[in-house]
This record gives sequence, structure tokens and C-alpha cells, in this order.
Amino acid sequence: MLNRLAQAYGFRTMFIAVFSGALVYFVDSRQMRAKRLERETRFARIVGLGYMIGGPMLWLGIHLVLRWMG
Amino acid sequence: MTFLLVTAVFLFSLKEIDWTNFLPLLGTKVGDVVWTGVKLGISDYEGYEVFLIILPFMLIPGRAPKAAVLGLGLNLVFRLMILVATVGVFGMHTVDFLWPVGMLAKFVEVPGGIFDRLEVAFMIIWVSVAFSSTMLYNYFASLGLSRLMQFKEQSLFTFALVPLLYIISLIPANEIATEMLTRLEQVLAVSICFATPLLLLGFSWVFGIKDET
Repeated sequence: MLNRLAQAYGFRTMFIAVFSGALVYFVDSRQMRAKRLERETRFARIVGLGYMIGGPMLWLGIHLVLRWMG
Repeated sequence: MTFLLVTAVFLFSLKEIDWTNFLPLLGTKVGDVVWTGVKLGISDYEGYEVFLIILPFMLIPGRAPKAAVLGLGLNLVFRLMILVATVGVFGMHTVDFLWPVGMLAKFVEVPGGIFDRLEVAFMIIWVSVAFSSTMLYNYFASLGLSRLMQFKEQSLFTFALVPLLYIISLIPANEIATEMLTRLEQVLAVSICFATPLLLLGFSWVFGIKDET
């Protein structure tokens, strides 16, 4: 199961997650702020940051666990 | 462009078609033919829920049935052309191929040698068509999620869904698993597409809601 997850969540997927997160955080949240949509701005920031931080953390976690398990 | 390419593949394969491959016509019982056709046809027409989703966004909703019939009719004509060409050329060996239409494009020869490999052009168009429907579904998913969370903008979810879609696309390990996932998705889509409108229609009858789109 973990091997399958590692195959699906490789470096490329992690890069896509970070890139999407950056777009949501920097582009979408600014657009929402310009439209004065408070809830949407907050959501975009949380999701963007979550992807940008959580993406590499998950990738690192999966590969560390896999290395630890041998 | 897709219309031109499908028509080209059909026309160039016409001289290769062995019409005896269609014989015996209606060799099995009509009931069996209809039942098998309906079973396969329903899963192939799973994309029709698009009409139900875009209906409230149309400038003139009254024209929706006409547009739907035209769209589905064109789709039906294309499918019929491809079916006739594929079965006519490959006969009973059609079932041996995973993607018979791709094989047909590879098999067809363009007169004059303008294209040596028609399947390259065919695949380029086919992939772009496949991705255009993916974009459409991504839009609908983001629209649905934004409505669900009561956001005023749907574009928030457009990029946020991309990693999830990419991970889902990587889940099947090989072509067989991809086909199995496609079958599962077809069963789910058909159940939801047929059950949801019927349920909504039932609710509208029970609660007496009329002409509210």
C-alpha cells in the first residue's frame, strides 16, 4: 500500500502540488482579495499554504518511512 | 477538427471494409441485440449529464433540448461511422484490440502518400479532445464544490483540484487496471446520472415545484 502511494506520489506529483498551491496562494487569493471576498481569500491562503508545505512534507514522510522500513 | 479527422479515417478506410464482416445481419434475436445495445449504449452516453449542469447557465434555456439533440445526434453519427469502419475492417478481430479505433487509424492509408502515419495526427486530436472534456469536468467539480461551500467564486477550486486529479490518474498500475477503473466509473456515473434527475423530478412532483430552473 505504501509502495503504491509512493509510486503515485512521486517527485512530479509533489511538484504539481506545490505549483498548484503557489497558484492558489499567490494568484487566487489576490483575486479574491481584490473582489473583497473575505472567506474565499482566507480559504485560498489556507489551501495554498497547505499544498505548498504539506506537499513536500508528505513526499518526505513517505520516502523516510519507506527507507526506515527497508 | 475532430469531425474532419473522424470523417477522414472513415472515408479512407471505406475501401478496406469487408462488408461480409457484418453478416449475418440480425443473426441473433432482436431482443438480445436491443438488450446488449442498451447495456453498452447507456455507459457510452454517460457524458449527457453535462446538459443538465449547463442548463441553468444557458442564455436561452428554451433552446437546450434542440442543442442537446444536435449534440447527441452528431455524437451518434460519429460513433456509427467509427463502428462501421472498425468492424468492417477488422471483423471479429476487433475485440482483440484494446483501442480498435487507434489501430484503425494506424491501418488506414492516405492516398498520394501525404500522411504516412495518420495515427499520429489522430492521436494529437484525440488527446486534445480528451483533455477538453477533462477541463469541462474540472470546471463542474470546482463549481459544485464552491456551491457546496457557499463560495461566490468557483475559480478557487480549479487549481486546488489539479493534484488530486493527477494522483487519481496515477492510481491504476497498468492498462487493465485503468480499464477496470473506467468500468467502475461508468457504473457509478450511469447510476448517478439516471438516479439524480429521476429523484429531482420525483421531488418536484411531490412538492409541486414547476418551471423553476
